Amino acid sequence: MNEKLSVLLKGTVFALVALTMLLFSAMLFLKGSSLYSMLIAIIAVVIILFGAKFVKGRYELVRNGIPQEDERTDRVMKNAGYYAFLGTIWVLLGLMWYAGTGVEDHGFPGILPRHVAAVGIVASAVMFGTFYLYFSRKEDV
Amino acid sequence: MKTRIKEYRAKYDMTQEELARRVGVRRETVVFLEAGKYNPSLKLACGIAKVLKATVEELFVFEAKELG
Repeated sequence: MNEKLSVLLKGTVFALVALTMLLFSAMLFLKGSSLYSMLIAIIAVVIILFGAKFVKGRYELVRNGIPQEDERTDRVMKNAGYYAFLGTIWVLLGLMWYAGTGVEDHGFPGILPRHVAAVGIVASAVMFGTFYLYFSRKEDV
Repeated sequence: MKTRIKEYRAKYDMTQEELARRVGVRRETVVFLEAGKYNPSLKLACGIAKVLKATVEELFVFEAKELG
């Protein structure tokens, strides 16, 4: 794929994710849940800032004729994906325990299936990002 | 692992960015390579050796215990 187009697509993904979160935040605000609305708006702003920095960095690389990805970044991505996958399984196992033993035997507040899905998605994204940063700075990957 | 990439790069008055561009990797990868902190693929090692007009053995120096 054309490198400039690839950067544009990545920037579009960041923009769409941030826009969706901002819309969700506005909907929550209109429903009167201002605390969650503010929290999601803050996350959206962080995504916008991170996305802008990411896209700018990638565009600089493309402009200087340097590839966005190489064999080292491939290894970093694969390692981060592997550990994020394992971590997500543990998070979901924890939620299974919570929804079963925690709620039924210990009287913890119940959770809805959509909360489980949301936690799974957010946990995998956060773990992937964390492992990506860790492996990209690690000496040998 | 020790590398002599920096030394050879200086010999040809080449920047890290230029070397990165010529072998098709990011500059960070060249930084890790020069510090001996990244074990490259054979393809990349040969590519760097070709650009720096050296052999792989001249650029990448391993101690006997590292080779098993």
